Amino acid sequence: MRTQTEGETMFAGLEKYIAVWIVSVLISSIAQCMLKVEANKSHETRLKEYLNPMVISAYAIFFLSTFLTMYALKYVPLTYSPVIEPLSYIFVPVIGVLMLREKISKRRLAGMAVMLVGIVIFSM
Amino acid sequence: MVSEVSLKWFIALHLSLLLNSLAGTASKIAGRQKFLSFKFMLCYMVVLLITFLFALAWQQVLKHMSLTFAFTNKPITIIWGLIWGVMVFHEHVTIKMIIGSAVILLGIMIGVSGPAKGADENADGRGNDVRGT
Repeated sequence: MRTQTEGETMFAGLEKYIAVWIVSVLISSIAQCMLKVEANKSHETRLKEYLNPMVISAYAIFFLSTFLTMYALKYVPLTYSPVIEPLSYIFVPVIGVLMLREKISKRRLAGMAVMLVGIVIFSM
Repeated sequence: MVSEVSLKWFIALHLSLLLNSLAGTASKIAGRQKFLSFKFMLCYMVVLLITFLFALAWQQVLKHMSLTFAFTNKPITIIWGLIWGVMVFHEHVTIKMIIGSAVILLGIMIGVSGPAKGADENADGRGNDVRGT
């Protein structure tokens, strides 16, 4: 959160669980990029497109993230989802740059900037 | 933009997004149960079932519209999260949270409304990701 001082009042006592939720979004964003890494490769058979260590690990991560989200939601209000779930729209392009050398378009950067403004307003 | 898609498939898109948003609700109910209890397992199965049904629906819906159009509509799910939070769990919402959510929604729509490419669409290139948004 960018508004540290004001954020503290809103998220008081929930920081730990919000962090778990953010980690859940982060790891599933990583898994998403892992799927893309494997999709960029050519495979001998259709079956090998799905049954390879990278794709299986990615789905294991998705599975793990459902538990983390559930644990976080035990305490964090569902109404916080508009500010946490969309973080994937920031994580995925950034990881895409790091893992896949993809480029982020200006349009996407502009979108991210608007999102950050929204996150600040939400957290005030 | 709507003219690109028939009303029928536009409604189908939004019904599937509505369904998908319920995964968050089921997830929260599951989180409140004793871990691995019967109620927990039931709610968690509902989460997985919704995710699975959404994946099927999303693929059908994508046959009738561009990926960009579907992706631009997809983040509406976050607003459903806000609505279910209030309606189902009686959570408190402030005007700043509503405005913030609207701005975040706008930001996502700006970001995804251009030509879609890259890791956002996953393995099968259809952007059929597991998370709701």
